[in-house]
Amino acid sequence: MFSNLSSKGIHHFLSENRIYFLLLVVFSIMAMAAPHFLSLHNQTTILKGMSLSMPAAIGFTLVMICGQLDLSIGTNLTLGGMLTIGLQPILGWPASISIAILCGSLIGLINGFLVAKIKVDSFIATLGMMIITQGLIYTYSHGGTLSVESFTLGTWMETPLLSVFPPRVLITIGLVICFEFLLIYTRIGRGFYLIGGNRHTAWNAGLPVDQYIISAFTLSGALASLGGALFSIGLNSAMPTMGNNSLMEVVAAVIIGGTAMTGGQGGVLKSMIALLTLTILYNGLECIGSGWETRKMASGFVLACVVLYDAFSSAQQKKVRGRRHELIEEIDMDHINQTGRETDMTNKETNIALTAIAVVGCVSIVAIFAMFFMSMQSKSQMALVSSDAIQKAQASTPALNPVDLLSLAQQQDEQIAQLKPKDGQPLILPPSTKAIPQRPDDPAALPEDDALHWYDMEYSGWGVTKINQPVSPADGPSGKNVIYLRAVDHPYHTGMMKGMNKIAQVYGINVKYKTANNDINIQNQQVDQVINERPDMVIVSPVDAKACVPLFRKLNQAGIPVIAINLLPDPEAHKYILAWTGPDDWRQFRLLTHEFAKRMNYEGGYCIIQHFPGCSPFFSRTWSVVSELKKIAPKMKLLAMQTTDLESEKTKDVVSGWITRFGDELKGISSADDSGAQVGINEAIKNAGREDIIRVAAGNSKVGMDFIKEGRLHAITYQSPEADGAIPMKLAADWFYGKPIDPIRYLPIAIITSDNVDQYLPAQW
Amino acid sequence: MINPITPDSQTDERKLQISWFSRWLNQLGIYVLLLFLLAAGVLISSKFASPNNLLNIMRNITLLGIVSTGVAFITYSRHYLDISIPSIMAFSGLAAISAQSYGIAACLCCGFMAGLTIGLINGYAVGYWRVNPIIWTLAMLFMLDGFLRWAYSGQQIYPDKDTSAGAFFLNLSQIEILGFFPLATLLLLIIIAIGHWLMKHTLFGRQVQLVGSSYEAARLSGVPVKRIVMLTFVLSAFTTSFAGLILTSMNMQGTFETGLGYEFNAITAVVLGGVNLTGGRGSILGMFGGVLVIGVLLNLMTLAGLDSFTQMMVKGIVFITVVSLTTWFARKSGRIDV
Repeated sequence: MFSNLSSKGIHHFLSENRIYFLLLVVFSIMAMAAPHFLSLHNQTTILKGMSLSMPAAIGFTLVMICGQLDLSIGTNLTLGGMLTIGLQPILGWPASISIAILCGSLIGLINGFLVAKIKVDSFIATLGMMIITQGLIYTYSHGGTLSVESFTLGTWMETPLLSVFPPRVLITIGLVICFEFLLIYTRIGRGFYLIGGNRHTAWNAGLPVDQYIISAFTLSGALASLGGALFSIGLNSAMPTMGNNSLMEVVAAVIIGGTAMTGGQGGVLKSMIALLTLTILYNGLECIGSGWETRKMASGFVLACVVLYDAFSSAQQKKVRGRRHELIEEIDMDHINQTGRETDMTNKETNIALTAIAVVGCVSIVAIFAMFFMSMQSKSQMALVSSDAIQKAQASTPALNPVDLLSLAQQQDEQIAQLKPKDGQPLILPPSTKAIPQRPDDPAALPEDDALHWYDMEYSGWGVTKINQPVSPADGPSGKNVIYLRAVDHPYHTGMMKGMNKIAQVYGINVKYKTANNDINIQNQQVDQVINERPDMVIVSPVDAKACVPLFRKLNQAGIPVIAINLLPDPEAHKYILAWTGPDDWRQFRLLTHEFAKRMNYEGGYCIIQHFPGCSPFFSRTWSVVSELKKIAPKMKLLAMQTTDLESEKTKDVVSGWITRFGDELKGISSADDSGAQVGINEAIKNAGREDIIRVAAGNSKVGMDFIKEGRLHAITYQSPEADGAIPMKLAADWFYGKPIDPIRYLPIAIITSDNVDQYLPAQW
Repeated sequence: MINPITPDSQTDERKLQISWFSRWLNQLGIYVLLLFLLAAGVLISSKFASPNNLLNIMRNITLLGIVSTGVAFITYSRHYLDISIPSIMAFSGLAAISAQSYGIAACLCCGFMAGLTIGLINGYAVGYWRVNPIIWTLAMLFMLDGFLRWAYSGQQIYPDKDTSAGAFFLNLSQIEILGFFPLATLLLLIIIAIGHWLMKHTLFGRQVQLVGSSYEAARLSGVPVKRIVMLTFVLSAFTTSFAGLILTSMNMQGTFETGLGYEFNAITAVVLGGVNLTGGRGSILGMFGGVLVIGVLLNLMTLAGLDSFTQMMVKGIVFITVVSLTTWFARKSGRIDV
């Protein structure tokens, strides 16, 4: 085989196996550039990160080999996870997993039927199924996260066997091997390629084309839901948005892996390698410390390069399509003979270049392995040295005496008191106290419009016994490394970063941040990375209140102190964290509701625009209003509530519908957001000429405050992003000084109306 | 598959008739559904047929209609859609606000130039290098989204009321003709008219159709296929950045999140309106019907008091049913050869 390996052969070989080279290149670059990247623990993190989308990617590859597309894999994945977790308490694991997979296959079956029998374009059929499935998921979960109590199976799924491979990863790799074998070595498998290559030929050759296509879609549905099930078992919970990022990621990976959209090409193993490459790319970039935007750009860049290369090589192939190779070779020979040495030289040069590339490749592989082992050795030595150094430093420097530390802390406190965000309010807002009522025996049994139904959400964290909390080193915050895990890239969270950095500068704390883009899979990986990097403290704004529990548990077991911020997590999560700080959304909204009711004279109908389904404010900014109004203004009537993803267009649509439907009955609207959603509300109201409608919203952005000044919005809550970010950093510093810190610290509640809006201007975001 | 040629002229004629019917059904059948929905609306709520509500529906479909008109050309040329639509919308809005201190002309010019540049890059890659449109524009979405987050460091920017350009820009979505008809909606109607003329009555439109029906045949008969494909992407980027500017003006802020979800909403409307993904079929009028159906359906469901999640499912089911039916009829009458 290698005897006639001409340069064309090499070219072919390279383009066939380009994904392996890409993996090698990305891995070696990251190994050289990214700190902490090469540790064994990080390899497990990468494999785990890959295994959420991998089963879906297998199915997607199958469908794509048939020349079709399946856009419903993301929602199928979520559905699988949701059903597994939702049915587990009733049916137990085996039955719930089977039902989840069955439902996934059913959706795949419908897709396949629409595509194969009705002949709807697969892009359209699966797009429609995607919308329907998403609706089903939300209806099933009521827009919330589901979770189960027992950790046993989940922990087993996540614990590495053979020091690298957790069972979740092993199952995934097993699936890949099975399907690779099926596709390459069996007649059935080859059939998929034949159908993708040329459907009519396949039909003429006697293959049941429709059955193949239907089975490909069914398998895709089943595999996607299996992937979701495995992931949610590992996490003990399932979010209604957990598969949202998977679709685009899988499409990118499968294409990079060399499966063509026209069908008939590619393979499952290559898709896996491509997904692995992408995950390594993301992981490495995060080890370097770059943000979400770099990650997005890098993946787009890789994808663009790969498709351009594909287009280039297919153009090259077209040039010689249908020609006889021996004739081409003869022409080439003639060409060489006629033009003489020059072409000969270029040929030689390309050969030399290819050889050089091959040599460099080999050398770099050897070098990487050498570096890997050396770094492992030096790391263990370093660890020894550093622990020695610390012991020596502690022994030799008496400068760390407590009195000096205290005076330093006082100086810094004074410095911090001077700091102010853009709106002139204090950066470190005073803590606010909250009365904690008695927990009812079974909150879930109470009706939804009773405030105590939401007891576990609102009063989460009280009466929880903390376990295994690390002890403060009590040597001051200076030079400490803190990692901040952001939930999402959003202007409010950018404001939080600003506040956090201001405090960190005063104390000389090094802050690094990672962004999860509201994706629990990404935050899960980031937590693993953090455990690998071992900072002195982690500050987390959780993506989800329930799904974050196993994440905190992991950090706790690794002995890293955690402060959670912004989003109030589940009671269970408070066991594992030092403290939580953030806005008291429920009480804020109650205060707002009082203003709302007063302005409406305690009567009339009202509507609610809800937050994104699947997040805590979706509940707090809806039900605190409803339950409070039921108490203080029984004459007020809830007419309707709806979520609009906080988009102005959709909100305008919904609100103008409400105004038409309820007419004068509608007297007030409460909104979960004062920018996008409020713009839509105000547009609809303006168009209908109903400026009499009372409007309140969660604040406080520039848009909302401008509305207040104009009188088109009556009250908003005050929530300072910089304070939200600054306070946890202050708590962290206090903890490093060895001071006691409050386990729960709410931001003070306040509302902004036209009377006091000037105090809060200019807006922070 | 090769169809056996039958000498029987009678069957041919019959086939022609059915084909005429199915073409009509495929292209304008959506209006039958629209009429049905309107009738249902009148039955469900007495307030449905009020002029105010109908005007509201028009307002609500404005942006979707503008985006869909451009996308329809891409779909018509059998290149699916431009997935980078959300980031084009965000980019044009952000660029316009960034240029507000240099005057109104610069502001709008920057907005359109930003969008058109991306359209040009997409069109060049897809047209000249024959890259798969879905994948390329997906890569573009990733890159542009990352770029915008980086360039504006994750923050929102606001048009400044005190500059003349900023004030004009904020006003852009608020202007109403004769005191009740929004300018943006009027522009939508104009764009639809121009789009229809462009698609059905110009050489360009015919060439797009030929490219969509058979790329090779178009190429062999001397149609500048590469340029045509590129132009469809540029056209789509134009309408998209137009919608982006209006949306940004309405939101009173520019962020990288503007326009999320428009790519799939637009393709839904386009396909619902009978512009097939197989290329070369459908019309802008049909597409407009698709947009109207979505607008009326959403309005109707809100009036009927369905919750958001049920609305989502109903929308999906209507979409799949309509598309399945049209495909089924088209295939029965032999217009789609599979």
